[in-house]
Amino acid sequence: MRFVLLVLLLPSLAQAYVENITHGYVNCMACHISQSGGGVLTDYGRSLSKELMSTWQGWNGIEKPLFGAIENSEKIKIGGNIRSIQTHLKNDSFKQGQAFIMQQNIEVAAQYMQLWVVATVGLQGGPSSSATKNDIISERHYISYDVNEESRLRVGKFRRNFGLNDPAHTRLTKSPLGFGSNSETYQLEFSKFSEQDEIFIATDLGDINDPKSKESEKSFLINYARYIGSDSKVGVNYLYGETGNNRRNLFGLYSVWKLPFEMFFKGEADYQQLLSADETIHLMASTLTLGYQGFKGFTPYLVSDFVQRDLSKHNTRTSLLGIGTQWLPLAHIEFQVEIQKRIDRTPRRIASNIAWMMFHFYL
Amino acid sequence: MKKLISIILFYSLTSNANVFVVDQGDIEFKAKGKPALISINGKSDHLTGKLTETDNGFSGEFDLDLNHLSTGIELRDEHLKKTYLKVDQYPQAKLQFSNLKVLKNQEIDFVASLTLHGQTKEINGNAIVSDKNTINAEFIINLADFSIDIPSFKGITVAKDVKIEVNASLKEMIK
Repeated sequence: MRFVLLVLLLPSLAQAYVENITHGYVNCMACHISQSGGGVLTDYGRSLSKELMSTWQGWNGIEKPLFGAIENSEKIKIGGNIRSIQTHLKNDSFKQGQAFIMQQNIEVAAQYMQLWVVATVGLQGGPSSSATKNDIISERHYISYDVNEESRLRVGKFRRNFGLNDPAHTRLTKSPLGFGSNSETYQLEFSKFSEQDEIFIATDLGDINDPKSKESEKSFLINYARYIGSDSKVGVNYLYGETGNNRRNLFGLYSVWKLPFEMFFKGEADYQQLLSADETIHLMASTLTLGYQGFKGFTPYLVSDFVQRDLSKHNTRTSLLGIGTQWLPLAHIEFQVEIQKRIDRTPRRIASNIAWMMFHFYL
Repeated sequence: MKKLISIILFYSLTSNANVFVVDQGDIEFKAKGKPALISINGKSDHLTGKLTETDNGFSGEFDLDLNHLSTGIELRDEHLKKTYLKVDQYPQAKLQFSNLKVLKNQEIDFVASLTLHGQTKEINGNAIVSDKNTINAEFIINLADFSIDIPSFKGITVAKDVKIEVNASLKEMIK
């Protein structure tokens, strides 16, 4: 139980800053090789990490891999992440605090003509009690083909592009819906981009290592987003999923908006209908974040999350209010701190005070 | 005598003219970077200008100090000004109107002359002038027309067409 709670607290394992939409980067491809964001950076993305996102710019070439010790070539890009976290959780039942490494991997992307081959390899992170800790894993490995300037086709293992590609996968619109940590799956994906909008259509092949598993979900996903002006975005998406035990229809709306006074809003609301042989369960989840970008590299924010796992039962609700800040002092380095007040009604009301502090170094 | 007639004639011609100067104004440019379709917006509020209203319409010019253009990223501003606009050599952009027919609160098409990067070209745009003497004009320029190299940086290349918006609040000068 303690481990489960701890895992629920963990923040990002991906690397994508959707609020950069408010700076005119309405899709992810300027900065990331992955069309849905996260992972290995393009040279432009590295430059932006220094020029736009960091408090101090440091020296010439600091944004290059390993502070400039390694050069990306035109055809090969190097990435990788180390993330460590200190967590704290306190409620009536127990008090817990731990520090551990969440993620340690390297990622390489190689280009051949219109083809990108991308793969990560690393060690499974997590607290010392985790059975799989230090197992060798590859979170992502895929081949992406540039069909033309506007369209891409991708096959392999990567994260399903549903809702906001927010790094905080512990948000209540992520984990309860199956998009939490290590939820990358084998997919075939087509994406198309224009100056006004973008669309992703993907089919999930399920657990190819254990195709007979009743837990493995095969799914179809469509995600359409419209750009509002040059600095905001509204999206709608639908996923149909099927396992050996149930089927689900998942609908979602999401948005990132630039607001006056250097502020931004990002939010997502999802509704899921889960159908099994003997019942249908309706779930709703939302996450709302209001952030301030007035200090370069330093982004304080307020966050509100909500999920009701069964709309017919009040005692399946979880809600939280949080305040946090993200700070990127120099290229390659990120700190994030968040304090939350979380109320779980499952079925007993449990009020928890939660805090975590994350350190992130990207190669 | 001729001089006196000229002065009287000049006075009679100009006495009906209303002269407006830019009280507050800005210029914004909007460009797209490919292949990732990023939006690159730049802005400057260092806009000056004067328009004279006669029976034939508005004539005059807007001037922009390009040294104050900002896109929100310092390195990008540096590249824009030094490498592409060459503001050391060409610090001003000038938009000149001649006999612009204005119907207040209605969108009008106009032809004007734009001087940028040492090149002067005719441009076509549209504008709205409000009752309160604010003018909002927009037009598209092709960078090649002004001999500006297409900006490119680490895999992102700016599209050749750039949209420009001029927003100015005009103040009538006391005669």
